[in-house]
Amino acid sequence: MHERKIWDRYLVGISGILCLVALALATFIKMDRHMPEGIVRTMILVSPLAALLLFLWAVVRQVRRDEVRHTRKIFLRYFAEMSAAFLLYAVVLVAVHRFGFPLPKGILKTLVLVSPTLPFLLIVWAVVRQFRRLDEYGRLVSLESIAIAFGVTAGWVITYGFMENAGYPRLSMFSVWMVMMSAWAVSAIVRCVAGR
Amino acid sequence: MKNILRELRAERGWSQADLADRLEVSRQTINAIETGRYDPSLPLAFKISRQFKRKIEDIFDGNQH
Repeated sequence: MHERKIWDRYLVGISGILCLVALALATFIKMDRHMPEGIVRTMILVSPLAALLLFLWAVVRQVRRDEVRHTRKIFLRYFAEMSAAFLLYAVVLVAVHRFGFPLPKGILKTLVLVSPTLPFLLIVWAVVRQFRRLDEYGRLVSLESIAIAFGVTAGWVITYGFMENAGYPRLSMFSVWMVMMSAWAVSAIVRCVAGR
Repeated sequence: MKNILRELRAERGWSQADLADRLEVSRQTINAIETGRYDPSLPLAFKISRQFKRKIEDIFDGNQH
């Protein structure tokens, strides 16, 4: 295999692992109230975003080099749709943080605070469209990764439920999402690096 | 399922990417079929047989797994 392609694959794997490490570190620092505010704390908290951008760049770089026109076309279309949906989501999220929180308690505040769900549906739509564009083997592989993530998340939720009974602190519901995404990312990265 | 996809492809001097392009699937799909890790659906098997102008049973050996 061409040396450049192997490096492309490693770049995707390394940046993906970097994403997970940065996310874990940021979560740990966010929960640690003893760490003083400052540039180091801010940098750690935004590091997952930087790692995610690096990962996306690596993936797009790899896809652009794919020799198969069909694969190139569908993945570049997916990235375009996903980026547009994410951008809209980010804009709405910032607007909600800026204008939603100061609103007085009530139905209007609730509606404004849940409004990022609407652009999030666009993200779901982009994922569904891409899933339908994949060929049959691609769909099978994706489903396997999702099934692994589902199993790991179910295992984690049940285990931590028992740990809470043993006195461990209650975690935010958001932790479930992070475990699921991490498990999904790890299984996808392993396939990407090990796959031929 | 065993198959002679690799041999047919080699006869024509096509790479896995070339065949994937013609069948509108990914290169990984071709690799998985050639190595027997994945059995194609009937529509894809028909597409492959049309591409090589051979019967499906001439390409895939249904008796061996």
